[in-house]
Amino acid sequence: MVTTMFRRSRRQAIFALALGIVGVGGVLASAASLNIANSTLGAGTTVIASCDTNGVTLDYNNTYIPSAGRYNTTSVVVRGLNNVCNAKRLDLTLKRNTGVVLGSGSILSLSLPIGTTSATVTLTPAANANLVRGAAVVISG
Amino acid sequence: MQLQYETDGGSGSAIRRRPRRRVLLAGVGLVVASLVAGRGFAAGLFVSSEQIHAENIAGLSGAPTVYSWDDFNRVLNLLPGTPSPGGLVWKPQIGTWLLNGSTARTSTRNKDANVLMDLATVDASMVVTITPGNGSARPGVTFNDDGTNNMLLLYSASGGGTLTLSTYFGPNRVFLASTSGVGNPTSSFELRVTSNGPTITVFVNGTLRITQTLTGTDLCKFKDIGSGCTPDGRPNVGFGIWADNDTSSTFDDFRVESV
Repeated sequence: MVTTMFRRSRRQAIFALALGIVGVGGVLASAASLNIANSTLGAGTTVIASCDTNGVTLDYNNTYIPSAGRYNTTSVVVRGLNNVCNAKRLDLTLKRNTGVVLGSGSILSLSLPIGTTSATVTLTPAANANLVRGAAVVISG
Repeated sequence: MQLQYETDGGSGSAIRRRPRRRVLLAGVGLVVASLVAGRGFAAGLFVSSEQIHAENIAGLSGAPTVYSWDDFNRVLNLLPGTPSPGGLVWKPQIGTWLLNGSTARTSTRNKDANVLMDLATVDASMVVTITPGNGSARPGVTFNDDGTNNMLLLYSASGGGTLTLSTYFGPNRVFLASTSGVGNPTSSFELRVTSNGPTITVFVNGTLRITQTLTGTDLCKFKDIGSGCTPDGRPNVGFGIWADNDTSSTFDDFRVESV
């Protein structure tokens, strides 16, 4: 009787342990399949596993508004894009020094054939060029 | 594994059930914890699998600083002596300048009629849209002007077909450069004149037409560059519009900005 109980308990313990191992293994397998080892994390520049590892530069297109006596930034040329980012989505947001958004725009699917490393984002609404202090660029997909 | 040796002297079922429950609970707990952790990892890694690139790029837009401007779009009769929307006052010079709807023009024929805005810099870029009134009209702009008829002058002739750049110092007008075939007579054109150091550049509708470098005494007269200039130190630096015996030409969307 005791021996039987002992065997049953041991089987149950082994079964529970096996379940646990399977669960932990699942986590590791999940991590491996999602390439966690290849991702990077940082602030300011490249944040997470990126199709563009060396960053981009921006050129602003400004248009004079006669009735306002100032320039508006109507679009931004994003330069230095890697072709690996082709067909991915690009979002750009212009900000003033307080971080308040001045205007934004998106390209739903980047068209970057070989030799093309730039794309122009049209802003909605156009931003007061005098207030622009920077931009946030996100490429995803 | 102490449990296998424990007995209660009876059935022993109570003692046996407790460890079994614990073991099962521990196993289930491990599985649940693993699944939760797995989901967490998966959620986090879902982002990286999308290959996000995020970047903050600090910088200015690069747009010029507008020192002063006027779109002439207001209800006023006389232009001289009135403030522009850009803040600076139009300084009376020669002629009777009027606002005519959304443009400016002279109402009487005067030689060298002009009206100015005084700025605090000798280096600036002036932009204005000019519509020559007829083939004999001579609208233009004056810049680096000290307000006593000493100025750099750029004017169009032949209905805007030619442009001439000259110095105007007292009664003496000295030719510097000219260009022809600029535009269609009487058609509106945007004129940009940039005075940057000794260099003057002229653009018509965005196309470079004249590049001229001031030398010698002209630098002293109009730019106050270097020492020993006579006269030394200009009291004002005026940028404005000019029309010579011309009441038909109109001016619009005037601005002076950084180079």
